[in-house]
Amino acid sequence: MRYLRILWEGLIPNNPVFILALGLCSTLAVTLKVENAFFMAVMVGITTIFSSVIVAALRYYIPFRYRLLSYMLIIVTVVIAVEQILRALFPDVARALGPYVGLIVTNCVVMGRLEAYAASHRPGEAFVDALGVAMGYATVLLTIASIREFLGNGTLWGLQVAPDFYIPCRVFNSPPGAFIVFAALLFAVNWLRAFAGRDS
Amino acid sequence: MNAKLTGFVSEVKFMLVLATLCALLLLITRAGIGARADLSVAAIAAAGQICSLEMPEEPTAAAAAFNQYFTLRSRGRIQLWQRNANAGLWLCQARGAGMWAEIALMFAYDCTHRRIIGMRVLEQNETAGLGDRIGEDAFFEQFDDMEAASGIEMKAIRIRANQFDAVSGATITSRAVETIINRALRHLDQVASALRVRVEVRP
Repeated sequence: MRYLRILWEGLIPNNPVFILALGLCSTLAVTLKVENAFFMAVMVGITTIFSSVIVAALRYYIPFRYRLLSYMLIIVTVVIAVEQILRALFPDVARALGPYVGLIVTNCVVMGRLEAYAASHRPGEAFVDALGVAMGYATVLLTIASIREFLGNGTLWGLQVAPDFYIPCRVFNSPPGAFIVFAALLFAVNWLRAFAGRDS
Repeated sequence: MNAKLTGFVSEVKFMLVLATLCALLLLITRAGIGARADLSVAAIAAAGQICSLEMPEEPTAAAAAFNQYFTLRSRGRIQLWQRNANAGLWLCQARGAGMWAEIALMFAYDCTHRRIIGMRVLEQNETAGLGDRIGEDAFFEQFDDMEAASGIEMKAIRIRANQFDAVSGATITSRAVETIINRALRHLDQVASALRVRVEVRP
């Protein structure tokens, strides 16, 4: 039950993008296609989970003064390893994601969870928290990507889903389109939160 | 003072151990999967086209076939492979800065006759309509059987055998191709001569 609550808190009340507003640049950049967003979310998830568990396991040994440096070392190692695997197994996706895979190192979602949660909890709890946050991040990424790909191309994961008479609205393929979709979703989420009686 | 020093030493020790462990993990990943990551399906197909070899389309089979034909001799931004059946034939995948983004290209070089056999551009993100014409056949074909004993040269009009026509309106991109190939050729010479020395020294 306790683990379920941790998972839920990572997913909705501590949602990295909508509530904590972390990692926005990569969120807006990779959400052109659902496929890219999915792989980006998976990679951020794997990085968050592995580095959280490692940091939680080493939390009594990591020197306080050098904790950010240690987190960085751990994140860099996980990201490079994951990037190599992605490049070997899915070269097309790796090319589409471009520099954003390497930039996961500086993604605030990962660093934020390490500093805020993993550094002061047991590995099991850190794992569940990271899983929740990763799922929250993935949900947001996939939602934005679905809307952008549908409105901008009339497709979802490369498959034509819009009816023939639909004329794709190309602005959603451009960076301003990402901001428009993100702002609309942020408005909806905040409105729902206010409606549910929670203070934001 | 002494306690402070002991604390500092133990902290540094921890950091060193952590850094070593991370480096080891990366080396293991690199050894296990890095070689596959370096060689894309597009690169294997280009190698097949340049050297007129039959390469299967399925990625795993293509990688196996490639490894059968070529042996990796140098890693990094300039990767070199030597043809197993013909030690004088080298395949080179080189990367370098283009006008907007990185250009990756592959060419085959015959060390015996000092000629480039063929060239293909694998990745480029140059200006649409101008620089991106380096990805067209008309540009590649200039490099078929090109003399390259002392490097290649970009010229507005091709006169000598080691010169190629620049793409009109894309001087920086064409210059980038020239630089990448010349740098790769210099590296290839070094690697090939080092390999020759080692082969001669060993009985």
